[in-house]
Amino acid sequence: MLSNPVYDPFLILTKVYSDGAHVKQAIADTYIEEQYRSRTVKIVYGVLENDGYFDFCIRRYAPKAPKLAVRTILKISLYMLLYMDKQRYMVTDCAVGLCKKLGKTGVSGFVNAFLRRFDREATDAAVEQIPDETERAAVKNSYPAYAYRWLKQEYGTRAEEIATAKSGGVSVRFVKDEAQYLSKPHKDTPFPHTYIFESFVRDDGFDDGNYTFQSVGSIAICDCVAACENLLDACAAPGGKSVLLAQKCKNVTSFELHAHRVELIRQYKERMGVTNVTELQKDSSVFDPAYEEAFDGVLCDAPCSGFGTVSENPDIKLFRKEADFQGLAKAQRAILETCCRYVKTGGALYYSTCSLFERENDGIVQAFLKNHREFTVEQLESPLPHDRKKYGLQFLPDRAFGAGFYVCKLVKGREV
Amino acid sequence: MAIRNVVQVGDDVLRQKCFPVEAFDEKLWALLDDMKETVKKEDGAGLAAPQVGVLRRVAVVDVEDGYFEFINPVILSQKGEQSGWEGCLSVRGKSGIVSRPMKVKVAYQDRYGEKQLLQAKGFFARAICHELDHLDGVLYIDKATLIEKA
Repeated sequence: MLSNPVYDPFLILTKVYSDGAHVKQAIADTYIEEQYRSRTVKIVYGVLENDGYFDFCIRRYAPKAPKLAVRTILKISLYMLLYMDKQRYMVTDCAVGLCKKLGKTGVSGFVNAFLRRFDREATDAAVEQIPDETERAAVKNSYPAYAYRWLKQEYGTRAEEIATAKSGGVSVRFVKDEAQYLSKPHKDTPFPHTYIFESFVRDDGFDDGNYTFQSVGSIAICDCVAACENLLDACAAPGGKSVLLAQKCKNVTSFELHAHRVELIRQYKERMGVTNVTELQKDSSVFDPAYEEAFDGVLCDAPCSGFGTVSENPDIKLFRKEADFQGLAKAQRAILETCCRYVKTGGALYYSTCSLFERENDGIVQAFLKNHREFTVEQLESPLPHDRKKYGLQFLPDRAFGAGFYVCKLVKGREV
Repeated sequence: MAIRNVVQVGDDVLRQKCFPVEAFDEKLWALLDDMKETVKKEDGAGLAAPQVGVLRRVAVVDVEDGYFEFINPVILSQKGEQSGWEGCLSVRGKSGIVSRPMKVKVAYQDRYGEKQLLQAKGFFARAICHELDHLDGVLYIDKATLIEKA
């Protein structure tokens, strides 16, 4: 069978655009032709990464805003044309073919005309005409304008590098038998048994628990957590941090709000053969007196906007709206407010996110400190390149293998 | 022994650089005894001589690690960083978040003029840094990143 390269990406992207599915989930849930999997995945991610710019392109040549299906076909075509160096006639042919296959013969003429007329240089010149600097950069880098404005405020000229930083590759942490994989191209990380591969095909070693896929940022956060007897991982799913921390903490308790995600932790720890992690379904923002002052260390890896991981999850740039940040801040504060009561005097509370923004990081810590004078921030150290914020460490994707993470350590002491 | 009056911010004596102690005599001991009584009564974590109107390099610290008297103290080295809340007996009704070293090594003399060395960390280190700043006319409100009503 002759495959239309646009079809599988179209199916996946439709789930993302119209149902709001997470891109990873959409890929997993779609039957795609195995032999073209890498091409399909590349197109899907490429379209999502450049979504804002493609919207601008479509607006410019089709001011009447075509329907979602047509927009999706055009975006895939633009990606193939601009980023995969495919011939225009070939891209146009695929796109028109797909229109027909979907029974949309009515629009095939429009799609054909669009792709023939589209001119990159003229479009880019039009981008440069956008008067507002932030708006212009937001279109150019397909980054939400509000988020770009925050990057600019916090990181100045570095904003563009942060916004456009690419994923470092596949971060793999080995437990055993790493030597056989190291002949493949990889980069070393500052952490033991952790490497970043250009590509890595999962094999039986994964199911045997010889290695796991864990982002270098997640490993850096665990590295900041001091070894202790009893540790609580308060927002634990899928369990990567709990399992790694079980190496240096005697007992790890893992709270997770959703039952199906508690199951993920169980599967993860069993795959890795770890026995000192206890997973429980519990809302970390609701106080449970049974755990009052029960832990030497509590890690709150709070739900956040995820902007530190857009190179891995480009759909975040599409769906995360400025209005979401209020709700996120409320959840972040509630979790700290509750979990700080689980820390013994002299113990440590760790707050971490995969966000780049002060409002989710130091801002939350400062708001917490206002109500909790018994806590003192202790400065952390990390071998992974980072910026020092007023309270915590900020890992930024342009210098930390594509990882954007934040972590802060608060020690419970006496009230001043 | 007597409880001494704690000078409040605005008084010029808090902004002076203090003079080293040369005589380890009964006058110094009286000052130290009064400072101890005052800091205990006020429930403070420490007190420096200028806070009771005496421009000498003398401070006391009262923390969980114990009660310490520092005469002519000098910070030899410091390590790490911590940010947390501080208050001051000379700045009533306020507190603020101040960044301080996590650990300090201090050389000083005791009330008999004997040279001493001490390492402190955590809140103890914070209290030492706070009191030593007083000896150079520096208050925590000069350094705080956030100040609130107590």
